Amino acid sequence: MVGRNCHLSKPGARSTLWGAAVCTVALFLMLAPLAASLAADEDSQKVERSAKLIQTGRLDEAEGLLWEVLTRHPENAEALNLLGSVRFEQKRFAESETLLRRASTLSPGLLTPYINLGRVFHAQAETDKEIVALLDAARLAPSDADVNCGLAAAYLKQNDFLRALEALERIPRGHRPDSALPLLAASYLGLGRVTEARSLAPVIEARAAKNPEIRVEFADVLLDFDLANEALALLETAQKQQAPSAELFFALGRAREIKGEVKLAQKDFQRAVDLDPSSLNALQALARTLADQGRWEKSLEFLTRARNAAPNSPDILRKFASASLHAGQMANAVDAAQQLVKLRPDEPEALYLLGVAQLQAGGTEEACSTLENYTKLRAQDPLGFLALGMAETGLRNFTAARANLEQTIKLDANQVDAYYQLALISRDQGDNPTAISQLEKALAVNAQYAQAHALLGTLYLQQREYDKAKEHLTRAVELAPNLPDAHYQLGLLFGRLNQRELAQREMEQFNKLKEKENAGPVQPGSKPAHSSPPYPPS
Amino acid sequence: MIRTPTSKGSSSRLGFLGVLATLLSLFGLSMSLRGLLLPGQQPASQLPQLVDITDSTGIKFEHLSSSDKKYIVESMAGGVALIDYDRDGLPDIYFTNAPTVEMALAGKKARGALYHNNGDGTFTDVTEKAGVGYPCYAMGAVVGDYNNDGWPDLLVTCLGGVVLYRNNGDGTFTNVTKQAGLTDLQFATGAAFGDYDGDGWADLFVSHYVDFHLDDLPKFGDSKTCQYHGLAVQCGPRGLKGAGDLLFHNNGDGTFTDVSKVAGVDDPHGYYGLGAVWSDFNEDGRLDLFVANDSTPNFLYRNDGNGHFTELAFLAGTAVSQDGSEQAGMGVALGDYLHTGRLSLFVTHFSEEYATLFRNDGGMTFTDVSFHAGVATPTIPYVGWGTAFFDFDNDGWPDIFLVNGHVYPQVDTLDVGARYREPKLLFLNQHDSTFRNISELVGPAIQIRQVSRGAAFGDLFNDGRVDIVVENLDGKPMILREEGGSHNHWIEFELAGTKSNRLALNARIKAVAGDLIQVDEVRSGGSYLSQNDLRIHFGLGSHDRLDRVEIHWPTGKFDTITNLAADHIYAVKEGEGVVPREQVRPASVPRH
Repeated sequence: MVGRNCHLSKPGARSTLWGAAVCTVALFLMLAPLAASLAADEDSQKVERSAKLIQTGRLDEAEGLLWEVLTRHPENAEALNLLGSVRFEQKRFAESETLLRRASTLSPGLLTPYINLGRVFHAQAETDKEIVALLDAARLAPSDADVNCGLAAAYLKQNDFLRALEALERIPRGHRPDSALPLLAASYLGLGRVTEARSLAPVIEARAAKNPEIRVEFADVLLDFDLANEALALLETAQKQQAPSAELFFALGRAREIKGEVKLAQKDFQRAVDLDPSSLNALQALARTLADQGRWEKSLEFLTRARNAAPNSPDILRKFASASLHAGQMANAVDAAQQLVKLRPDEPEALYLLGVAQLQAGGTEEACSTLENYTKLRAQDPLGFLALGMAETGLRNFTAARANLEQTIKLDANQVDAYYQLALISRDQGDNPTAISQLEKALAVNAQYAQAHALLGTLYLQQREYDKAKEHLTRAVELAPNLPDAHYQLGLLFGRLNQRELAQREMEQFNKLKEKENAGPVQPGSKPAHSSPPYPPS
Repeated sequence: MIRTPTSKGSSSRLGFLGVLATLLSLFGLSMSLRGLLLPGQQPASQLPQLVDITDSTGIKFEHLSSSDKKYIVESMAGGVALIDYDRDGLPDIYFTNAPTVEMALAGKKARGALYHNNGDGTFTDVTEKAGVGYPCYAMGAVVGDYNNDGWPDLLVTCLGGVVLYRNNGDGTFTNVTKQAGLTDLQFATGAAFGDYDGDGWADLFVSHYVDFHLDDLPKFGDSKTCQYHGLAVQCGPRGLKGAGDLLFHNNGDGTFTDVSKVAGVDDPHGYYGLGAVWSDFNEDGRLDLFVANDSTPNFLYRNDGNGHFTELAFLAGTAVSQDGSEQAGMGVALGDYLHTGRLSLFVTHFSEEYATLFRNDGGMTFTDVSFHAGVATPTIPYVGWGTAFFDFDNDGWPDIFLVNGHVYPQVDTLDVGARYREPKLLFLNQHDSTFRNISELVGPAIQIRQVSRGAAFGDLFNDGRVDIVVENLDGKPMILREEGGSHNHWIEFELAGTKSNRLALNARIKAVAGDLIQVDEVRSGGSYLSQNDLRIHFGLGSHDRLDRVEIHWPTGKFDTITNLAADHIYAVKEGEGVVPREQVRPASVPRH
């Protein structure tokens, strides 16, 4: 109607134009609140729709709508919060954090940005920050179940059982969700309040009728505290009463593993993997049990599957890299460690892993540089200097190598490996007396160091000091019966002493061990060209 | 869960570190002693220089080669022999040659070459007249006098057996392989003549490498054993079937009989045999045999004296390296580098291993002293081949020279430090059981990177200095002549057996000049598929006379000669002492 009035005015005359202008301004002033209200409604609808789209995984569509809102109203906190959620789903955590922080700054009373920030930090295993975000949320909603459950879970990660319990107790009893019960059990158990934890069992059973998974979750908590028998009983009941699930068999495997029934545990883990081929827990558990048996290649198979399922999981990358080292797959180890360092540039241990992998893969220069960075970050870690010393040796920087190995000893006089490595350098430089002295130091620290005995015996044999050679070589094979070179040297020694039968026996043992070692054909160059410091265990 | 590096765990690492320690020890420490001058050592300015005189010698020979070495047979050839075929007192040179596999399949041959030493620093190609140009798909060559006529004969090892050329004494040779009964169809590599049964006739040992046939070629890069640091390369030797070895007994009538099995040296497991030498390692008067095997344990056969040998390399300490690792044995050298009177062994190996010095401790026992001696670490980066102990500076202490060159041209594309072409190495004996790497102090020639294989050592110009003929796999050889340096005295001996085999193979000489006592012996074969000058050379340092020479002839007889002036070449006939050179020439030596 208003428009019509305006159009009624005639165009052309000056007075008419002025009138039209006045009319337009007046119209704008009249319509502005109405338009704003309409636009706000529209934004609100878009925000609502985008929330639903996010829930159904249609992130691009959701983002499109959110940008429409944010283009007009860059300070729409709800839209920013949801865009932060989109980024979270896209695993663009840094952007997500920025958006969520902006949302919470613009609208400090809005709860969801804080909860979402907690999720962002949770996903990155940044528990301290997660707790701060959730505490902010808790200030807005002190008895909120989600917030307090999240807080409790975060505190439990830090073994702060009391604070976890406090958070859970802030949820009114009648409002405690199922998910609060295992957390509560963990808090009690962590505080040594076993009876109270056990008292939750009937509640769990009652709720299991509607939520069967709760048994498994509760059993998991019991297993975290090594209560394997109780967990097993619960899980066996669950096995009878509910459909099989990967979680159930994984928990069963855990219980059996704790009880020392490793083969049964492996079967359960395997069953879990069969039910859910991307079950990271089960894949990692299988990998771990195989690694414990020294079956590194098989272990690596499962870690490869885990890595495929969660390509950016730092934890899996760590395990994958370490297992690759043990399995002799150095290029894979370097690749995974490099990815880990990219994901965790501030994590010194990732650098150590990368340095060791590079060293083993023959990239000695790269290893030196990586390990140098590591020693800068962990200047008190003797193993960093040990590794760097070995890398420097690989580059024939003997002065630097010695300095690093000596630094290792300075930091930890009990680092026998450093004495041993120094002895090897001395031996390689033809300085047998110094090598002998360094080996004796190594043995003073650890008299069980078989390799040191073997090398010492070898050097004494070279010097024709047969009694000493015999003493150390005999000790070496006592300590490490599968050490081929010690048997070989002992064979040579017995030969020198005209004890032919003993010599023959040692040589036969040596040949047996070598045959085993050489089971696969080795091409020159296929052996790792460089020595390595200790691998981080997988 | 991953443990942080700060966590303790030494005990759990022990087993792992033991293996790694060995690997660590394989890193080169070549720079460690370089440049250090110890008391009594010569400064660099007094060291002779090794000068490349190839261009001025008139030698135009070039070894054929394929560019990518797709097959192992294309990487293993290149032995060279010094043979004074006309007995004029000047060592002549025979270069072996091998075609590429592609050429061989097309029926094409590679021309070996015999160069006559003109005595004026030049050589003349006499191959056609001699009739030794196209023996076979040749690997190496050694010298012996199988018919005891005093004219050195030439044996060429080949893919497909051996070829024996009888020296007719008139500058020509005749291929007598068939009539001599040297039946061998395998991939022959190392060879050495030696009279193992003391009957005065030189027998022949031939080592074999892999079971390789041109009509059944392994596929390049096809499996794990055809890869190097992940790169596709030629296959082998690992992954290929090995070939046994052969010992031919000389019947004394121009024929040989295969006694390999009876003698116990047939290598039934088919180790990958390369360099081979005869020597009386335990000084019991009988010739023992050492065979360097590639990627498998070496053989050390003790001569039991009844036509049978006992293999005892493991017990003797020469089968594997100090840490019990099998090495890729290629070339072999023998020398009394410690002046103990015993000949120690030096064996060249693949890169990432090290050239191994087995100190002879007597009683058929050896100790790997490579690291202590200072020869291990500088050799780690290279693939070593031809080698010898020889007195480079005539100070009376044997030094060590070795030539290098990778087997895979593809290695140049890798970032592992190794290169296809490699420099040569010279180690100076420091008189204290150690050696000093002086490779960079003796002129630029040996720093030139080449793909070397054979190396033959001898006094080409009768000037008292040992020269080196290096055969390269790719292209022309390198003739290295010693020039300059200090003027130490020297002495050389050309031996002729009468009861013993005519070339006096394995006759051993003890040379005494004051407190300088040296031992060496005449040997067929050695180095890498090569033959050194059969004359024995000793440096005498400041001694201008030799007080005494004791010669232990292969038949067991001893001759002692006293008071010889230094700086001469002496001809010595078994049982007669020093004689004019003419008397050891074939026409003057009575046949028996």
